[in-house]
Amino acid sequence: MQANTNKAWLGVLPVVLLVAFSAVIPLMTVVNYSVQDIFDVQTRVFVGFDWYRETLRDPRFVDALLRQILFSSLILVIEIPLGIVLARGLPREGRLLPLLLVLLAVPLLIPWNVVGMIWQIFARPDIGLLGAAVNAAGFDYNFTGVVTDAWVTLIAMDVWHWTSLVTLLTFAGLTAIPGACYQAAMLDDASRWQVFWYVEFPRIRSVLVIAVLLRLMDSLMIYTEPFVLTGGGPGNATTFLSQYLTSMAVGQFDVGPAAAFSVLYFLVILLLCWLFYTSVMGSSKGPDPYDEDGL
Amino acid sequence: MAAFELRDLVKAYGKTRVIHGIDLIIPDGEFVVFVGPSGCGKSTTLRMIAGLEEVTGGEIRIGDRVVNEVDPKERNLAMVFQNYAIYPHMTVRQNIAFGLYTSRLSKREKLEKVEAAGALLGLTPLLDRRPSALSGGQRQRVAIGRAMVRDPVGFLFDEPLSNLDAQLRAQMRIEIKDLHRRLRTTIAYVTHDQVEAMTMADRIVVMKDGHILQAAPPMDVYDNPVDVFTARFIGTPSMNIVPAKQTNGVVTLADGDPSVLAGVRPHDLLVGSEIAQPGLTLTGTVTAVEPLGPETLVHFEIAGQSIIATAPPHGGVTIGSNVTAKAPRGQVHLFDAVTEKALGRA
Repeated sequence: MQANTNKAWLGVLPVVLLVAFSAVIPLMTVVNYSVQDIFDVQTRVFVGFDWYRETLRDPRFVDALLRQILFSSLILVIEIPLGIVLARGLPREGRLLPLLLVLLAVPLLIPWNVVGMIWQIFARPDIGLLGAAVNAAGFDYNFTGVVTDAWVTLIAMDVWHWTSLVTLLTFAGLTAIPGACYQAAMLDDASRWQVFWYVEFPRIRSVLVIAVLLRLMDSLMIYTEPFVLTGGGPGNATTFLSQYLTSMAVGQFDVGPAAAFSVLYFLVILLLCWLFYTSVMGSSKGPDPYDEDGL
Repeated sequence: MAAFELRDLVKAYGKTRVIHGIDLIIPDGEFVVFVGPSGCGKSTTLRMIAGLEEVTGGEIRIGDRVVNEVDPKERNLAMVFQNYAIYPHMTVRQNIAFGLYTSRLSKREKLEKVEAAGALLGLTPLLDRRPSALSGGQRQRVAIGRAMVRDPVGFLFDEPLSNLDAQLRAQMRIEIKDLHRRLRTTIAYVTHDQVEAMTMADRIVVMKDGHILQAAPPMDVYDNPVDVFTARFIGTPSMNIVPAKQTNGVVTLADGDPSVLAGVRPHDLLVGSEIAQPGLTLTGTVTAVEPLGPETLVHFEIAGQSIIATAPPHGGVTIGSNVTAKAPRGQVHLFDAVTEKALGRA
């Protein structure tokens, strides 16, 4: 009979502590705040799920959430196909390639608030290169005043900022495809669309999942660029969850409701990413069957 | 079905010539194996036949048609690649059928062709599986099946067995040869493995540095290699080559400037045999002994040069001892000491 000690748990302890301090405890603090009404450090009242109920009934939360989902959907619909098209358009080798890759990477290297700043000036109807040009061309364009213009500008900015990420990831996936696969398709008289769908897509599928996941998570958390570009306006037209949360937590110092908001926000992101991931990965069971032997 | 013909075929990348004007006729239905070391131009030649590489000079004919400027898909050739290059998210059936999608056959005829190809390759129980569920050999059979259904005028194989393990390779060699026997389609097959070349080919084309050294049936290449390179490339272990001189029909080791090079295959150089009038006798110190079962390979050194000879299975040869190995007359190949071209046998 073996002595039944629990010494093995000691081995796991460092990881448990690390995760506890880096993730679980901070999160639990927020959860703790979200069920209390806090007047000052000494005076706290337990309110149960009141803040959650209030948040979910708050039309501004619901509107921000819907805007958020619309925004994320739009940028995914634009950036993923555009990124793939660009990646397929890149030369696979040659002197031009390094230059193009660096140029593509530039938007990714710019700090987010600077991106906001660049576009704020770029799109200004009076002096901005884009804004003034569009107005001169006869279109009435003002992103600070018109909701559609604000959205178009915001989406254009995000596409400019992040499509490169999709392009670079896809390109990495494409370069791993053996030349013989293309040549075999050529001998089979496959059309361009068939080459993409039957030769390339299965082999870049897992990279695309990562690209979509990154863009999905990141766009759900977008804060800096719209904050600088539109400040959430006109009205609340470009106020997303993170901006509303910040105004609630920092501006009004409503710690309880803001904590409940945070938890809900976190759950929304988690849920959407989980839904996406399981729906995509659910179709292929087990390890990725496509990365073996250049198949 | 068609013959292939290469006339003064040249390939250059920029100013670097890699194929130096080769001539070769592959008659209809012949199984030709291009063999040579890496970089000898064998794959480039095959890819030019397929139309995947542009022809710099000369001409390629398939049947009576010059195909230099013809699109790969118009040449009606099928190619099988080293890494299979099959479509991963299609079933075996769909993969095999893919080559037929532009064909004008009726749906039923297409299905029948796929079934027939599957049956011929032993893939029938696997037709509805994905490639990820297949072994390497099965995947390669799918690739062959895909090539087969279009009734191509010829098959091109580019090192199709290099990704497989030794056992599967041996099995696939037989299968491909059998397939050729049944289909009688012209096959051009590229490999760096001289065993594949020997066992499968109707004719071997030995290439080196963009030239064809010899194009002949396997046993001809083995028995009468045209030069030292071919002699050493075909046959394992490689032929022993020693500097020699020939006086009154007897070949002996040369000290100083050799007039000829003498080549003798390890299987003809026998340790402990009683050959009355040997064509060549070599004596040296044993450095390694490799018992293979039916025979034992004896490595020995003679004037700083390593020689491999054959001994009977239980010969009792030990490392460090002195051995004498003899080759019978008629089994010693002579080569010119300067040009390394064959001079006949002694």
